[in-house]
Amino acid sequence: MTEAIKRKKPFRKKYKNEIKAFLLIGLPLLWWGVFFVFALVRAIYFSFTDLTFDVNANLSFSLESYRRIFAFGTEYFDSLFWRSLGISLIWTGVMLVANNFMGMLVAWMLTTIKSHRARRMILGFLFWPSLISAVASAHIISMVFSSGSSGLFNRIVMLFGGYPQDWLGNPNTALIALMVVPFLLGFSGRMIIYYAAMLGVPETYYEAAKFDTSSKVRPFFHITLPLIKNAIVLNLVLSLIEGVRILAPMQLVDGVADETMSVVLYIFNLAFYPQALGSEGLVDGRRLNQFGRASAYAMIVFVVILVLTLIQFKLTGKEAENVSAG
Amino acid sequence: MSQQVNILQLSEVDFNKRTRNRKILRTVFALTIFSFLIILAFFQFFPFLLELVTSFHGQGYIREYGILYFWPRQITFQNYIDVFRVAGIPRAFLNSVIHTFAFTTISLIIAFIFGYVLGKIKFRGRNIIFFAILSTLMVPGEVLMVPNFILLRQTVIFYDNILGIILPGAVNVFGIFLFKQFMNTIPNELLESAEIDGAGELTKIFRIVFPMCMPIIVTYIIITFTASWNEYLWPMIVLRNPDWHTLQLAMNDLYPRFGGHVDEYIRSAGMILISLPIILLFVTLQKYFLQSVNVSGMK
Repeated sequence: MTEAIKRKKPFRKKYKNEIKAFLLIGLPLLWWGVFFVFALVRAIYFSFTDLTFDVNANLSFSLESYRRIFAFGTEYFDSLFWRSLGISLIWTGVMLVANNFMGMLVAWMLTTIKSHRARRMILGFLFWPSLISAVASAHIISMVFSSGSSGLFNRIVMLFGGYPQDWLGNPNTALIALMVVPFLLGFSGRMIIYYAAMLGVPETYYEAAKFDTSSKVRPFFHITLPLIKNAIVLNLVLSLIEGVRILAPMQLVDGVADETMSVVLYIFNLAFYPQALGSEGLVDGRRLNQFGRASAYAMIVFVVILVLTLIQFKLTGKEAENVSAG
Repeated sequence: MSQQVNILQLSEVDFNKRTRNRKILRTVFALTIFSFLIILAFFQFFPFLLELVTSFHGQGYIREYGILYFWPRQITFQNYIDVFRVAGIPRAFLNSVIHTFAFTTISLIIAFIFGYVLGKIKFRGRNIIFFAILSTLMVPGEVLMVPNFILLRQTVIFYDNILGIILPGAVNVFGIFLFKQFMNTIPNELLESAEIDGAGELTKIFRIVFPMCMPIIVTYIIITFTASWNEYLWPMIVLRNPDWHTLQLAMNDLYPRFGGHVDEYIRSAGMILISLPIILLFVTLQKYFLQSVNVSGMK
């Protein structure tokens, strides 16, 4: 009986919700399929070809790009890729440690302030630098470390009787000069997430702890830290992704030495701006956009990010599963 | 007997002393933290102050050797006027405004409806779609930039104009996730009773769910507005023609060609100009900004 009714149910009624859903999201879903899924598949495909600017040329299967990465000791080997990846990873490591430490410290300090008004004022002043664009941040770095007597750091050096130097142009100091400002002041984004998490810890926990200890520091390690674990994981993952994808300071700071090239900047230059590269930008003696090679390198970066994220999740335990990849 | 009393009194005095000491210690502690934070806040502001000071100096002004300027020696707005005289900047400003508003609006509507459908309509394949979309969050944009650039160039209409920076990212995966999560807080009974009253799907979406989503919508607008105003890499790839450059790209025009002080003053004014809209937005919507981090970060 019921079977019969069910079978008689017209298609439109049976799949009512499906029709409704796909009328509403069909087009965006298609759009997403083109610009995310299709693009990803194509990126993998391109990475196995030697595609240059001419897309309509006949593409043939080629492992050349991957050989450049892994064939150590042969003529193909691209040491510049590994060096630039190393620079990105140094940047990531330094910023991850410094910004998270500073962010957590400052967030905790903020929670000790009693007056809400003062708290919000300071929070505002500490937070807004994270809204400044990469272009403006790069200009700030070049203002601080520019050569000659116009740079802020050189003026401080001169106050103490030193001589102005070209910090950014010198390959030995360039990377450090780039890192100083983000190292000291780049904690805003991390701080705000820690702060929000710390506010979420119930006040009663601390009151209970007052009976056990008079210390101010011990509750932080035994109550706060375990309870903001999600925020820590989130911040570490965000630091990692942001760090490996770093590009703007290396590209935009005025007069910075080529030795600071990060891996994403290298990929960008290979694909879109071969003029910035020396002999690596040449294909058979011509400057060409090397899309295939850039895709292969980007794949490696993708894998590096994925592996490092998974390691972090593994190290920080199961709670990590609740965290969005933001 | 008398001895016992004495001991009691003694310990009480001792106790009072200790609490007083602790009170002083606590005040010192609070003051130290407070002054540290104030200094830190000043350092965060300091680079921006330098930009401001430089941008107010007249172009004829020659700075003295080895001196830090905490305050401009002269105040002129000429640099700000001159920034707009640099060819391309007014157009770039307009482009940036169009890009930011169009992208925020389009991606908001798509993400909202997408989130609603995934959160509130029960249909076969819902979970598959959700997880497929979520997993693309892991793919960094650098992997997709080459194929997407090639695709845009093949389609021609999206290539090298403002559509190329608005439309490819219009389906914002992070936004979809945000809205889908928020839909859990809206009771199903509400939607069911609306349906009984004869409300269609669109009525439900825009008359009932949309107003209830206001907090998350404000959050989404803030995050997306800031991100697309500051966006740099993708516009640089797609926009070859300087007519379509956004403000962030147009700043490259302010870098020195003749190597003088003049460029530097105007450049500082330019940097203030590209940061100002976001800072103004932050000052007016500070409460929501801080809230937005809370929502986006912790869910």
